[in-house]
Amino acid sequence: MRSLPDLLWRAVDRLRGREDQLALVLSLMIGAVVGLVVVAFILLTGRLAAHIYPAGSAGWRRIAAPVLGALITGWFLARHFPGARGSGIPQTKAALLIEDGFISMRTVLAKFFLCCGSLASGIALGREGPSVHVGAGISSVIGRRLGLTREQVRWLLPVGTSAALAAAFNTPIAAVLFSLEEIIGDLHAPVLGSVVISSATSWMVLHLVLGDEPLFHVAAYHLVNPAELGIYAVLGIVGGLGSAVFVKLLLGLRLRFRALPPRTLWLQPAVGGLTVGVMGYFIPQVLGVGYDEIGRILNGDIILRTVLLLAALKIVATAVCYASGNAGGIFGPSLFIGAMLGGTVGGVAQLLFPGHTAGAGAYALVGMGTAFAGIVRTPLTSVIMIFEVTRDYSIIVPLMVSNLIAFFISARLQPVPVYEALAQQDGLHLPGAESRSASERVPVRRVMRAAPAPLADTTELADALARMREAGADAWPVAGREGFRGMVGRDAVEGALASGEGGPTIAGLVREAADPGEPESGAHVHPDHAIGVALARMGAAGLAALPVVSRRNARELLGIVTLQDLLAEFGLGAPRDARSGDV
Amino acid sequence: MSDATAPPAASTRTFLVTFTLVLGAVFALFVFDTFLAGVQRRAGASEAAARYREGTALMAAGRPAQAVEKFKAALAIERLDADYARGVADAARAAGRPADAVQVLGPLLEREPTNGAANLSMARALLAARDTDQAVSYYHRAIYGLWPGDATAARRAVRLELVDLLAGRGSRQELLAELLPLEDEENPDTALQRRRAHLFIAAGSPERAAQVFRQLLRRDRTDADALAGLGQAEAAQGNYGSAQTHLMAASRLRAGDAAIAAQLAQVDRVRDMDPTLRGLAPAERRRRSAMLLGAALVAADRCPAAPADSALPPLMDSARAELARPARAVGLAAAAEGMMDRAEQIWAMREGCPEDGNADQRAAALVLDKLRE
Repeated sequence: MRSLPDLLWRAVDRLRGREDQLALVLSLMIGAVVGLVVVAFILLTGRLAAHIYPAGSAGWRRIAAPVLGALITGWFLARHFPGARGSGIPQTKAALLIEDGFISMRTVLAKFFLCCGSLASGIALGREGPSVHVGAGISSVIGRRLGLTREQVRWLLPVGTSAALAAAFNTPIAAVLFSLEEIIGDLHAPVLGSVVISSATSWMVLHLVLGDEPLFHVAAYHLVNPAELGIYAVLGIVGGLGSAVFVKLLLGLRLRFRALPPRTLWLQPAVGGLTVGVMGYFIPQVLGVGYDEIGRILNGDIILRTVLLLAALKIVATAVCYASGNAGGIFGPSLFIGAMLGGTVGGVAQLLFPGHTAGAGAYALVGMGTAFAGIVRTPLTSVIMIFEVTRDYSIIVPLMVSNLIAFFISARLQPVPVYEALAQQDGLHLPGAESRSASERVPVRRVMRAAPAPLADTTELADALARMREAGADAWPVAGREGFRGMVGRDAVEGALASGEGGPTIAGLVREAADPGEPESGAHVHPDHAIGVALARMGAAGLAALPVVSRRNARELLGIVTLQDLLAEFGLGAPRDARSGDV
Repeated sequence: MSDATAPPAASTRTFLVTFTLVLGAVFALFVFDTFLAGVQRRAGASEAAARYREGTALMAAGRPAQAVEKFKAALAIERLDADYARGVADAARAAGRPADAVQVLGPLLEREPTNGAANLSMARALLAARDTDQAVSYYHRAIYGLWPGDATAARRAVRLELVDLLAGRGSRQELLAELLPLEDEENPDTALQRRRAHLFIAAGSPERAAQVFRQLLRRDRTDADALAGLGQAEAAQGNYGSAQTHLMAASRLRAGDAAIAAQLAQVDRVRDMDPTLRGLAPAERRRRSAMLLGAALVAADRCPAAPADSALPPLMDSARAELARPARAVGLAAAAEGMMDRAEQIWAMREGCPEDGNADQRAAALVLDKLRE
């Protein structure tokens, strides 16, 4: 009979050996830990802010607190914790894509406490980005301490980020989407299950501690008139332009700050603190992330001139605070800017078409998603996030219209997404969600050429070789009695002739295009396949050309795609003359 | 980046220790977060209460617009607090923004449809927004809603508020329907009894009013208000003699009361004009009948809505002719009867015309109404 410790040992060993079970347990564990840490982060920031700004406090505090906060945190960030500067999302992506999932405990602790101080002092940045960094860092630390492989640690990061965002923003579905869309850049990533579990666990922890309260309480809004979609389209344009202005300003200012002498690094955040402090002295709503103000605006408490002014001031305040090196994210401020722009458009619409539009609060709501789609450039996440934040389904169609317009305008005016651009300024070349999917967006149809007349599979080896030599082709399509069969490679024909094996015809050398057992893994592609798939299959088949066959009938040859044409698509060499039909 | 290199596979012991540490951290964090959340909640509640107090003080100082902001601040912290929501609504209504009040109360009543105080606030807001029918509906919900503390007193107060509204609208049937449940109250105080009795008169039920006033007088014979009320109730029933007696008694008890004096003067005037009183000499009866006929003619002349092509003009001509005829000693009773008949006919034909403001005309109208009944 085995003892209890022995059984425990064996159970642990068994768990370590079974990756699926380990992933499940780790997802639950990371979800709980990260959720609780982020809740602590939110509550500590709130309590600290309440002490820094007691009710009815004097106006000078609104200047002194952010300046002092930025000076203190700036000194720590510059001297001791440079990894904790900024939002945390580019840093998380860098850890995932470059550093094998490594984020140090030191960085996690610094991010937690310095952001807590920075945000509580009134710096106009958000808590979501830092939460994501902290969540990813906790995952990394736990993974390493448990002795997981580098690859396993790497894949724990998105698990931590989704848990962090679910708790920081109370949006479990959007958290999953954000982790897949922005952090990993692949909506079908194999860690999807773990990401969902950790997000749900974190969300449950949040609700256990703080109760079932949405981030914003919003009155139910409806589309009053179908023509209102036109106004939402205008909001999309305004949101797209506003997003582009914000991102350009932020990136431009950051470049200027980076050009300053390194010895001023600790002092630079104070510029952000002073900027937001002076603004906050006159208009206190500019201070901090401003979720209270968003809540008011969403409920229609709007004075047109004020919201327009707030949008402009917040764009400047957040850009300066971030660019000067303060700790905090742009996630929350994006929503603030969007709400104010939306409120402005809604207010103007109500003035122009009274009685025919929804309340300005509805536009503020859509504006939040619009600015998020324009700035962060994750359109799917932005739609789901607003839906989750407000729990209001009726606004989803205007939201989609507005978000997509903002997304396209922003992408046109600012081609590199903000997190990617920020990383580039730091010398890191991280793929964004858009750039990662660029090669996937080019279909085979774009590079394929007309197929030459197939050889019959009864063609003699010498004739086939002569035909291929004549055309300068590395492979040639072959047809049998039932139609198209596959490709025959020149190397294979030459080899058969030299060795005298394989029979007198090419019938035995054909790489069958379609394997009836696994129809999708044969030596062929379809016109809608991405060119990346074509490259992979060429490698697997050992052929420099693949047949492009119909999805309806794999024996129907539609064309040919060659390695040379694929390389030409990436700007390497020139394609052969497609009219010749050469392969 | 030394840590980024492939980590050595940890021993089972390290794995287990780490696992245990993380679980411990979960527990510790949960305790810490719960503590922090409690602190946050208490601080929030305290701040909300402070804002609410400020709002209440501003309301008391007659500054509802500023009070709205304070109440809103309280509500932003404690979103589910019904009192804070009502504070915002009541202040917004007082600031002349009843639509805002309705907007705030909507979600509250969705959550708490039986909240009596919230329904009352909604009724008041709708009344301010001139949606009286909806307001009446919410008054009813408030009456049948839940109230903390003395629910009976709260419901009575709401019903009386509704009763005042209905009396102001002249909705006699609805008013009577609201007054009747007040009769079931156990040990109602004198002020409530008195008020209810007066409202019975407004609701067109002077008999019930007289009954209540008599009950009050049984308790206190020297209750001048009850005596005056009873006089009013008797007058409303056409019992001007009894009305005069009670009003005179009330007048004696409260000599300087202008309202009682005016009611008494009115009753005196009616009695002076009433040709049907017993014991009148024929000449006096004819004089009063002629006075009534004259009043009916004046009223018909002043009525713009009187149909010109009806039987009224010839009737008025014949009445004028009869009034112009000198009185004779013989046939005075018949003449008086004839005049009363004509006065009644003319009065009936001018029905629907606005009442005259003149005291004599009003008295004549009361006599003619009595004659018609």
